[in-house]
Order: sequence, then C-alpha cells, then structure tokens
Amino acid sequence: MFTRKAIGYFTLATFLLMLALLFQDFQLAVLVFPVASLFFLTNVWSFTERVEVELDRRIVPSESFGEEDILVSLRVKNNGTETLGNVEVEEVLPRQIKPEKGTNALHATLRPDETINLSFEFHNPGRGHYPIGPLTVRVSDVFGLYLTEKRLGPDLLAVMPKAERVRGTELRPRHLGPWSGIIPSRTSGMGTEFYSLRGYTPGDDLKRINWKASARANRLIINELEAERTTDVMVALDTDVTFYESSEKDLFEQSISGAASMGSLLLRQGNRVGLILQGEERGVVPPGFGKRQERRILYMLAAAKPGRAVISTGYVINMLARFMLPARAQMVIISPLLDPAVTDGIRQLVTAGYSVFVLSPQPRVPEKFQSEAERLAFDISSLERANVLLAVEKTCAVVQWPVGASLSRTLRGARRLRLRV
Amino acid sequence: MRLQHVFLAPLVLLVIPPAALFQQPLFFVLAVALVGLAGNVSGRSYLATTSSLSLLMLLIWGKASESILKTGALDTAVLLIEFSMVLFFMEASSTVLTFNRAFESLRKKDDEISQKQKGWLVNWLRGLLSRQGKVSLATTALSIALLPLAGFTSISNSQLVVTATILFLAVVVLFFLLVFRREPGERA
Repeated sequence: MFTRKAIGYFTLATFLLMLALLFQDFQLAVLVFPVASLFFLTNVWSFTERVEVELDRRIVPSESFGEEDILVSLRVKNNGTETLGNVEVEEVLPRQIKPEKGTNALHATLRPDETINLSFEFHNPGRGHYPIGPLTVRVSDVFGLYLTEKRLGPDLLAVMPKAERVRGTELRPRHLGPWSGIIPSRTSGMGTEFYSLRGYTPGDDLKRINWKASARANRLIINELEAERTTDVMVALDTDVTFYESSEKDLFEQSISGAASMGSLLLRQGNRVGLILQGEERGVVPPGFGKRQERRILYMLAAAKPGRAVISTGYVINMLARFMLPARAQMVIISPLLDPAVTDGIRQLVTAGYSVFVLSPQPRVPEKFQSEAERLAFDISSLERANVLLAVEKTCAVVQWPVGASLSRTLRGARRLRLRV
Repeated sequence: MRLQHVFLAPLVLLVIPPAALFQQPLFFVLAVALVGLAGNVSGRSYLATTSSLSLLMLLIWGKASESILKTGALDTAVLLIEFSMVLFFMEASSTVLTFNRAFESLRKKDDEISQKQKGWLVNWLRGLLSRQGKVSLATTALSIALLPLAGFTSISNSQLVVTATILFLAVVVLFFLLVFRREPGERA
C-alpha cells in the first residue's frame, strides 16, 4: 500500500507543476524532477516486486501458574529472492506487559532465505488472559513510499490461578454416581470403612469373615464395607465483590483461589465437577472428569473479572444447577455473601434436595478509615453481611474464610460438612 | 545528522531574495535551525519534520516570489541540488529518529537477546542510510539530466487547453512512476 508520505510527495509534485505553468517558470518545473526521479529510482532499486515472508510465534509457556517468566520467540523468514532492506517487526502487547529482555518492536534488514529470531522475555503479569500479538511485519522501500504488510494473528497467554492442595473436606451429598470414589454412600459395597455384619453366603470372600462374631452367633458372619462413590458437583463463584474498595481486590483473588482449589480437590477425588461464574460477566463449564476438566476450569478462572451482577445470583445458580446437575447433587458456592438475595436462592436449592456448601471469603477490615462516615458505612455493610450469613447458616453448611488464612486449615476446622434439611 | 538544519537553513534561506522573507532572512534561518535542532536533539520527530517541511516550502515560496516580485533568478542547478539535499536530509533525519526511538527501548538492557537486537538495529541504520544516500545522489543526477524537459513550461498559459493537457500528462507520468512494479497490498 502507498504511505501518506508517497501521497504527500505526489501532491507536492502536482502543486509544483501547477505553479510552474501558472508563472511559466521552468525552474519551478525543474523541482518536480527530483520527486519524479525519487519515485522511479525507489521503485527500480530499493523494492522487490513480491514480498514473501514467513511468520511464526512461540510462547513459552503458553499456560502458566504465575511463577515463571514468559519468553516469546518470533521468527521472520524472507522466502523471496531479493534483500529486504527496510523491515519493521512489531508485536502488539497488552499494556501490563513490558519486555525485560529484548524488545517487541525492531527494524532489520533481511537477506534472501535469512531468518531473524526476535525474542523477548517479560515477568509473569499475573492471573488473566493476555493476547500476544498480532505480529505485524512491514516491508518498505528505503524512503518508505510504499509498504507491504504481513500479519500473524494473536495467540493467548493464559496465567491461571494456582490451586492450593486442600485436605480435609468431606462432602456428603445424597446423589452419588456409579463410579467408585471417596464419598461414603450409606450402602454396602466396595470400600474401606466398616458398614455392617451379615451372614456368610457361598461366594463371599473368606478374608471378610468376622471370626469373633461368628463364634458368638455359632454361624459364619462376614463384615460388610460401606461403598465409596463419586458425585456431581457444581462450583459456583460469585464474582460480585462490591463491598469496600480497598479490600475488593483481595476478596476477589481469594474467591478465585478458593474456586480453583475446590475444583482441583473435587476432581482429584474423582468427582464430576463443573463451574459457574456469576457476576457482571457470566460463564459456565459443564461438569466433567479429569485433568482436562481441571484445565478448563482454571482457564475460565484465569479470565474472571469482578463486577456487579445484573441478574440475581440466587436465580442464576438455581437455574443452572437444575439444568446441569442431577437432583440431590452437590453445590459448592463460593461467595462473600454481600447480596441478601443469595439467601433465597440457596434456600430454594436446599428445598429442591441439593446439598449446598458455602465457602465465604471474609472481607478484610481496613487498617484505617478516611472518615467516621466511612467507618460507619463499613460497619453497616458488615452487619448486613452478618445477617445474610446467619440466614444462610440456617439452611446449609457455611465456612467463613478469613483473608490470608490457608483454605486447608479453614476447611479442617469445619469437619463433616453435612447437609441439614 | 543532528546539526543538519543548522547548516541547511542558511544554505537554503540566504539565497532566497530577502524581499520574499519580509526582509528578515536571519529570523527565518534562526527559527528553522532552532526548531530542527530541538527536534533532532530531543528526539521529537514532529519538530524535525516541521522544520524540514518549512525549509522545503520556503524554498518553493522563494522561487515563486521571484516571479511575483520580479527579482533576479537563482541558478537552476543550485536550486535543484538544494531541493534534493533538503529531501535527503529530511528522510535521513527521520530514519535516525526512528532508530533512536527503537534503540532507546534496548539501551539499558545488557542481556544476550538485547545485545543481538542492538546489532541488528545498527546494521539496519547503516544499510538504510547508505541506500538512501545512493538513491538521493542518483535522483539529483537524473534530475540534472532531465533539465531540458523543463522548457515545456514556456508554453503560454493563455492556451488553457494546451496547459491543462501538459499538466494532465505530467501528472499521469508522475503517477506511473509512483505505481509501476508495485504489487497490490496484501495481508497474510
């Protein structure tokens, strides 16, 4: 394409011609010659008829948990037969990313079949989705009158939240799947815990004979074990953390970390787990098993942003739970419980037979307030939250999670999270 | 390269009839030189470009004013060389400023990747300036060789049809020179 500079020179030459004819001054006409010669010579000498460049990008690692630096390697190869003397390479980066080593914009000369590997490295920008690119390569003549542009679309760098290795959570939903897991099913079967005694029938494993009970009953008695199964779980993350500005970021990041940790834990235990993001932006990962599902959940959490919900959290959670979970399955709701309307939603879920467990990150009390009115406002908000908490505690298990506390330790304190209907 | 306006401004402006510069040639020389110097030293390309374009426009105005004020004419070859010089230095200055901007982001980085990229940048600058110089020299030489063609402008402008035809033909030739050998813009 022609640049603005080329158009400018063309306009200048036309203007000079008009002046020359107007004043009948051949010296003014002579000034057109350098411009015309410039056009001619840049065409003939300094630019190829066809520009053939090959572009490639590699991001290492393209998915990260925020611990390592990120390296982006760009490869630009001249597949043509002539030297490209004026090549500008530019990789567009989000404003949070500043290269620490190398640069994302460079000018170079490329000989035929030559490849330049433009690399740059930057510190991990923290949780989020970051588009790296587009990569634009502009090849122009020596005076920049004409340029050819080649583009490579952006790639995504996903920095996912790091899940905490949580222990000590024992969910007891009423719905259990057919697969073996770690949730006691209140029926006899394959498991590790004692369940009951019964008379021996041919075919039973002789190792399970309870000899003391057999001696007392004067017939063979065997131990029955409690079957351990998996369940279907939906982790619902309430991203509406509008409370007190300075503590909102911590509160939100803690909620994200909680959702990642709970999702990973439940998947490790063999459950079928899904995710609901509810706030200004909504998103759903349907329930699934395994490592890939963990990646899907973490990927969605990486892009989560805080924001006030437009549709009531209680309504959305209810609707999606009924749509995506079998009856009486498990819901894990991670919410700071700042919206009183969530109480009704949880109550409806419990009434419908779902087992609900609420993990509530606790907002941090600011070290100082700017005015007495602000302190009063904070106290009123805290009281409102306490009321919601009280109402929710009447319907399901709730664990309060203070900022900075380990989730493992917090959950260990709340043993046997059993549903009370 | 940073001092180019300090040399170019007096060279170009002091040969223009003082009447064309309102009898204040020194003022114009100082203004153009200082603005250009400030642009080149501070790395503000818009100042350097403004100064170069002013120089170009003042040169054209100086030439046009000769016809209006009926003052003595300049030597054609001198005019042509001055015009080509201003064009070359304007482009070279823009290249150097682009280099400075790109180099600035690497200046404080001493790692291996950055060192390599600094090398590419320096090679690019050397190569580009040398090619710009060659093209500019050839441009001046070709322009001087084309001087006899300028006689067409002596045709009377009372013949409007002839004047318009010559103008149209010249513009077509210019346009052809600009566009031939160019592939249509494409994106991969």
